[in-house]
Amino acid sequence: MVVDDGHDRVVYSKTQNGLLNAICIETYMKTVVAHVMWALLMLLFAAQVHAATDIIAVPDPVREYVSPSGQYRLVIRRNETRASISVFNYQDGVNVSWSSEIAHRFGPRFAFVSDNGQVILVDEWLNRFTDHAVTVFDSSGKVIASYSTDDIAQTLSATRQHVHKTATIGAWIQSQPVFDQSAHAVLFKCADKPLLVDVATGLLSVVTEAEEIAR
Amino acid sequence: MKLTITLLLLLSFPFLRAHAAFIDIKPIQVCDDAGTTCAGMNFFENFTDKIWAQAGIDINFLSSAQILETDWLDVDIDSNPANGELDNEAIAMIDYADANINDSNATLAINMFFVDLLDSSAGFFGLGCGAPIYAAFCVNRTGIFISDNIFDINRYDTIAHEIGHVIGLTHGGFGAGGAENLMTSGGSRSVPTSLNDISPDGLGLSNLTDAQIAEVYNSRFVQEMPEPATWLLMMAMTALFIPKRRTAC
Repeated sequence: MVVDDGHDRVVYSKTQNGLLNAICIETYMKTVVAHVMWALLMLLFAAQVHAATDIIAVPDPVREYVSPSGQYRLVIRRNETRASISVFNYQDGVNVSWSSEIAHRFGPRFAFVSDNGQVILVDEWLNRFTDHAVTVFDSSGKVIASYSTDDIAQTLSATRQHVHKTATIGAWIQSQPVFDQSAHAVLFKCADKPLLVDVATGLLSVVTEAEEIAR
Repeated sequence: MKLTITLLLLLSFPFLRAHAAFIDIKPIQVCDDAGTTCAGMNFFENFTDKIWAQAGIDINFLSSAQILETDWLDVDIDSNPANGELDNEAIAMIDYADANINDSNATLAINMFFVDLLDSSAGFFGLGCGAPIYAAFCVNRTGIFISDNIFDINRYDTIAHEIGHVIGLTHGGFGAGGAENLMTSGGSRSVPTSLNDISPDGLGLSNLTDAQIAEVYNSRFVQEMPEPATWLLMMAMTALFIPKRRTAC
């Protein structure tokens, strides 16, 4: 009798015996069902583990971002108590431009470094309204602007409730922030409005429809 | 006179009127062997109470206890997912507390362990065992584990969330799943940063649906609050035993 010690051999055997084939297929199906049941059981247990917990996926211990031209590199480290950022200048060999601990526990959700070495951090990793919604550093590492989620709601003339209801990323961001075409500003949507963060000045502004089309 | 005292008592303790039920929590702080370094402990009580007040439940934190065991500061919760069960270290902690501090199943006061880390993971904030739905994974044990990382980031809703698991709520059932709901999984839930954003106020966060509220009343850990009439009866009975001042004839 056929011993099912490997489904590859059983299934792909070229025997002409129909009865043997039927037995092989039956055995194979039993094996498949057993494996599927086992996988489902494991999935069930895995789901239970996650179902009884409060867990978030924390960011990688080290994240790197490069400026559009490649001249600057931003490194974010998730340390034990607070995250830190370092900016490296690649123009004349590799120089550390500046390095600093930041207020974010796990680091920002999004980060950008410009071709002049300025840095913009957007949101915390945590899903909540935050005091560190947008932070802008100049090329020497000095914070030139810092906005809370409430500041942003005010800039947008939006209610906090509307900001939260329209959020698709975390608790208040509606679209993924990106550099605009000039790479002099970071653009994203919040409360149904496009918001611009100027890299050089740190100023926030709401983009009009015409400006958005032009961009 | 007695009626006035009763009325004053009821006015002084709003929980006698506002809550239909209560849950007892026995906090257990884990420290190193020498007892010099302990996990942080805080109940975020205002937040926990406001969240569960939606269900008419008062969360009652009992006096805390300590366990001195360095190995349990970073507790293995699920280091062997293949067997789909709570890790032996977590089981050992629960069994130790049940035997030496408070037997959760007998007293219905849920042991809540405050530790440094869960599974050595900075993003693992809490776990709640006790509901029948998690019996297989929890190996029929009851207990809550809280990482003190929640105090670094003021994750105000984790304790309330884990209590929800113990009394039968899941991440997706009974209307959970939206960012505003208390029981939505950690990665998708919006976390309140002030009492003003907890439902029914502000952003309406940490919300509980009617179906969730109905479900939690099936849990044996949700204990019925004596009705005001019962309180009155108890106080009247107590009053009978208060020695009266003798008056001179």
